[in-house]
Amino acid sequence: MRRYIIRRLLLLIPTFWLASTFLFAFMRYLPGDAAVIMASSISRTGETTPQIIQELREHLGLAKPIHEQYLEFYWNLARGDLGTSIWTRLPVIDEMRPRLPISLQLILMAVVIGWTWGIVVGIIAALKQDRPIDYIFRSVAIGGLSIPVFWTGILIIVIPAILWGVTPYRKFVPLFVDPIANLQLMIFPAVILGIHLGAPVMRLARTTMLEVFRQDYVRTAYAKGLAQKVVVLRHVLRNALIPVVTIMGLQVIGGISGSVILEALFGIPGMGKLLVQEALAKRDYPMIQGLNIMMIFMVVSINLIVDLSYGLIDPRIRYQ
Amino acid sequence: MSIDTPVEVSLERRRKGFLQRFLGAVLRFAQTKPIGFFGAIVIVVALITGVFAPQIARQGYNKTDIAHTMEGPSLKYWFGTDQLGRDLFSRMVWGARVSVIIGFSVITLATLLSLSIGAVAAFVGGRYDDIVLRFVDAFLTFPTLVITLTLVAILGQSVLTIIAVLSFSSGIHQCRITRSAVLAIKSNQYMEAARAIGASPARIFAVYVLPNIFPIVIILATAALGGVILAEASLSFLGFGVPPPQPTWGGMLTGASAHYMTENFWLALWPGLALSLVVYAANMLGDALRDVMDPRLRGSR
Repeated sequence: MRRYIIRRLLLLIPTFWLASTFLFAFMRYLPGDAAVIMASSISRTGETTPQIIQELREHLGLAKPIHEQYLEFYWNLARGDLGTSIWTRLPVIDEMRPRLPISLQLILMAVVIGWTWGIVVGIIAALKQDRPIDYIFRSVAIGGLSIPVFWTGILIIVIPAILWGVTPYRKFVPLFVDPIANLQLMIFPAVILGIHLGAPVMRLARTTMLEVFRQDYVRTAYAKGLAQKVVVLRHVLRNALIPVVTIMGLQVIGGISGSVILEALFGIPGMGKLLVQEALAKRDYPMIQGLNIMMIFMVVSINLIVDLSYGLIDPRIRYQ
Repeated sequence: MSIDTPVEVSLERRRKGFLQRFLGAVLRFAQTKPIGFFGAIVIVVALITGVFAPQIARQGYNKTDIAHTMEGPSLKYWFGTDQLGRDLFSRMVWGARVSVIIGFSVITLATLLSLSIGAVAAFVGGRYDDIVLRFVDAFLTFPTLVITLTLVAILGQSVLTIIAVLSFSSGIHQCRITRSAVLAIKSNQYMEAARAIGASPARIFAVYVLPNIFPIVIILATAALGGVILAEASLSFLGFGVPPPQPTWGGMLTGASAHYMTENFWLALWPGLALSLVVYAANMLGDALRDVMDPRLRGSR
């Protein structure tokens, strides 16, 4: 297992390096000169002078030769320096620090809700195949896949307001200041996102459970007189969950995307809101770059955890 | 003449046979997979609505009527009106056009991209395959919505950049599956036979590889359609989609109209309902096609 962990850790380096190089290239080589766009959004009239553009270019470090920029990018990254916001003039890392835990809270809540409902309901649906309860759960899963999360969010905000004049929309309070007030807001986006993220998990868990049920060793387990509970928990579940774990990791990555939408909708001051309403809207290039790096880092770490738990559940993987 | 005539007749017969076979297949599909068939109908209706939007919409999407603002459905305004008195039905029809144009062009381009990267990499194999796979994996570490938002913001908002960005991201996501589809057929004996008779690699790829992965490609494209339409709507919802005044379903749920939803619920209802229905239809059609064409893929999503 230790060799497996070390190999996985070493594989992270080229992936992270390639992904951050992509980002570096996107930010510098795609049409749309950062300095020009920023200069025209700074001035009220939209007019820019070459002098302003040149100054901005130097401030952004875009005036240097490209290989110097590239080395500097990684040198700064290694020191934990993600650049300075153009607008607030604060280090990007300081802008992110209070918001990262908020996003992590939302993503974690949504993922736990999604996994739980996905696996538990997937198992129940498989056990009750083709009964009404199976159809109901499958319809909820398909709805979770098809209905946009922002529409569910809007309905949850708007419908109670129309019917009873109340709305779950409220001011965000940090978790450690007032946990109850915090959860009163966060539970809505977390459940919406959770149902959306859990839908593919539920569908996959159901199919793999049904497949494993048909295996000979399950029939043997029943034949030797084991109780249903023991067969499901000991023989079916562990084998059925192997493919499900891979998709569970993908759902966490999907959760990052989903949190961007729901933070914007529910006014939750996390990384997603920072990205959409500050960084992208104001074309704050260092901030856009820093947020992307941070999110790549989150995804790479999640992939590592998934790989490791995969090796833990299925010992065969470790020896490949 | 005496030589030409029988040839024409036989061609005619074959063409008729094809049509009949096609209709027969559709009929069988409708019987065995009613929900998937329903999905196909919804997609076709959305496609027709989008293509003939100028004929179907009852008025221009920006025509205002100050005397009739924030109304519910009526004979004059089938879906009601918004805060500026614009006809919601017409705006929905024009919004369908954006969803359909972007949805179908993206799945076409994404399929071409995944074939020319993923399928070719698996076909060529060796070093090249390893390198391509590394690049694909690296790109997949970007959360989809975050990287599409970033690219659209850098490139500037327009229909073309949105199509380009979504095709790129969707195509890369499909690469791994097209790649494994080619790997799966590569060891078949007919591939060896083709090489033995001296067929060039290009010919082998076009004649032996492509037709054999065709079912998987079609299933992938159909399954991707719902996701692409949702992605476009998410971009519009966040303000990085097709720029106004062009109405989009995602855009109708955000911005100024969001403030009026508690007064006129129809504003929130129609765009979300249409989006959900079309995405649901695409998902159901994808599932049904997968079951009919390649049951082994079941549970891959």
